Amino acid sequence: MSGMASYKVLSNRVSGKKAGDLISDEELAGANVDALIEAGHLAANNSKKKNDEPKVEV
Amino acid sequence: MAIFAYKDVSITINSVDLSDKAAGCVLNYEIEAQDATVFGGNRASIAGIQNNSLEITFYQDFAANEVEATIFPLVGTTTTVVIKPASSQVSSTNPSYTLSGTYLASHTPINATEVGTTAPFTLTFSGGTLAKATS
Repeated sequence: MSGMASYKVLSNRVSGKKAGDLISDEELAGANVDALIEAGHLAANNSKKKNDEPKVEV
Repeated sequence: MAIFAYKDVSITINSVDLSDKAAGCVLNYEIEAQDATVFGGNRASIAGIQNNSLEITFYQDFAANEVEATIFPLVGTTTTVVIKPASSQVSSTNPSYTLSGTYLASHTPINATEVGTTAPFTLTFSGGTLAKATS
């Protein structure tokens, strides 16, 4: 299962978000994400998701 | 309902709200007429494809995350622009118009035509699909 990408919001101009919030690919549907990153509104979110952690066998 | 005066138009370009830097907005919605006239009949037309355009006038702002930084990377690409008559919630009296897949061909980063003036500039988005929502 591939996880959906998310981005960290860096400005207070992104619709419905504040700086520091996360925004998903789904919320950005139709937007030019590269342009948002270049403009300094978003940054790639590098935090690991819980379901990416390795499973521990019992 | 009373005649509407545009005082608080909401303009969101590529998910970025730039309403407080804009001073004008003209959205044109067109479905091209295609000739369907036949022998023995009168001039007739059928609906062709959408041919929409949107012009927005901005005051320039070079600060981080503001007008120039937001618009510059969009030139030569398509994006989504959402316009509302007022910034309040979408409703039947404040519909939203979403122009998706619209193309920005050019931008005027510097429009210093006269010393000491604010010199607003106009962007033109062309093409794309327009959808209206009332809730």
